[in-house]
Amino acid sequence: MSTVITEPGVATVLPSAPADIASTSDATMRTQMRVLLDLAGLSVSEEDFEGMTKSFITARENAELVFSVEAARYEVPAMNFRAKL
Amino acid sequence: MSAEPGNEYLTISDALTALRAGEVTSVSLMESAIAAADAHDAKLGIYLARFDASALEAAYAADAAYASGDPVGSLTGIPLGIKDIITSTEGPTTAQSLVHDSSWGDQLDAPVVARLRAAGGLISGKTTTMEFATGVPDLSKPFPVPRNPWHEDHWTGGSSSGTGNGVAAGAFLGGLGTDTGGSIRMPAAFCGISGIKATFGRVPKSGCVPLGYSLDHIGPMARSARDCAIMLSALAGYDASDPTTVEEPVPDYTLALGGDLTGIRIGVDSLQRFAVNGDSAVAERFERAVESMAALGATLVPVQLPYYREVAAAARITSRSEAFAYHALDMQSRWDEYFAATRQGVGSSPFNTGADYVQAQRVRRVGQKAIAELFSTVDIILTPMASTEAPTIDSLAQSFGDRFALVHAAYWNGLGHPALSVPMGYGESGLPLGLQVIGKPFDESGVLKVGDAFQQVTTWHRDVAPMIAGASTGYAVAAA
Repeated sequence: MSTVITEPGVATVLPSAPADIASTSDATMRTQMRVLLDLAGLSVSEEDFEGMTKSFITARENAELVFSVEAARYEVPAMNFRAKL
Repeated sequence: MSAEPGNEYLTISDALTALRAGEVTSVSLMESAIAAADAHDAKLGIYLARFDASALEAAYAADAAYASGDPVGSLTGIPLGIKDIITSTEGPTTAQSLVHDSSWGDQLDAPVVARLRAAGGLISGKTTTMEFATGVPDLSKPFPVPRNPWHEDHWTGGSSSGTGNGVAAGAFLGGLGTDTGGSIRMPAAFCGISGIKATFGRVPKSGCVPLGYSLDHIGPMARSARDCAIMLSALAGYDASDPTTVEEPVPDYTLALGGDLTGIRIGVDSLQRFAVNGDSAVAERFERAVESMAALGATLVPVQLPYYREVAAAARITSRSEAFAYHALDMQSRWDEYFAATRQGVGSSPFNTGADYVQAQRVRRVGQKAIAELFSTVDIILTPMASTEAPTIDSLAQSFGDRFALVHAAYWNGLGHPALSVPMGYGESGLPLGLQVIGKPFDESGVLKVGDAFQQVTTWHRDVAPMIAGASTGYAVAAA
């Protein structure tokens, strides 16, 4: 976990990658969601926010899964950048 | 739920044979397509825009070309639908969205549309999609809701929905879909037709509204694997406008087709371990399909797809992240104009970090190496396309995530391999099921050969949904 200042005087706990979702309480998860959505500049209705709680869990589970692959520890990402267009 | 014998629809291959023999005209094909759209579009939500007049005009020109005796293109006189995230000269591209700038693409033909047109295809219209090729329908938005011809309460699958149900309804004989996580293969399976995502880089995707830059594919959807081979032969090949395309030679994919599978090693993975709460008929239908391959001479090899959940997770992270990069600014200012599923899906990308994205690309590389090792022992892999029938439209908002987990598509977007879906029978409710045929990179010929061989000993791809068979319009012809 890491702590960030999202507005003056307010410190919020963010998940590191991968997040330990199993130990995250519902209230903490919702706080994390609101911070991440705020940082992305998204103003989300309460209805959408409720719908996105499942997406949050899935997103963090997916992150745990990709970081669980030992063979990827020293693998080069499947991305290409070439200096010459 | 099989269609009555004899009430089958024309394939592209059938139509080309009839056109060359002078037994049918391009104009009559296009008029039948228009009649089918008139009969079914309002109920099924096939089209966002129809180009009846220009397509008929092109049909007259096609007939003149056949009459002249001069060489004609490989698709001359064939009505084709285009998913409305791909640009064409006939009209604006909407991406089925209130947010999308409809001037995007300058109303030019995308390379794939230009190639179909150069091959003589008739562009019949722009077909429905899910907004920006992602998510599920939003009934509150002013767009048609694509419905399944096999039961209108059920979804077509997405996101190439209108191309899927349009082929099944006879509104055109083939069309273009796009596939970022199964969007060609899922609606092909759910609508009882065929569809192929070729190798990443095989078909240029410029002129297509992007969703996941490293996962997007454009490909053909039609009744049969042979029809897909005809279309893919016209579509494939390098184009300078898309730097991800490769300069691999493009064969005539129809030349590889033939019923004998002797000497072909087929890896078989039922994926039953990921089919919790799936359709009980899938395993039995898959087993029967595999037995058919053995009867055709193939050698069967039990396999287990490596890093299945991990690569699927990597594809999911990649898709969300790449899509959000495209939509972030619009989502900040026009959130409510997006479909609910787009908001809650693409809008959830901030829940993954930049490191998650890069790690996902490392896992894709690990997956590529592992699957290459597996493909050193087999030529083709078979899996069910999905462990479920098409869900009801009413259930999508609540359970789509669970159902999507039963669609076995995104793994192959993560790895870039060619993958074909062909019909393999029906599920518990009588809705179509798909068989997925996967090959080595750039071995679309091998994939299509296996799909075509299967369709030479089965008739699922020629079945017509009762709703369509009961209508008096369309391409009804006697079985060949």
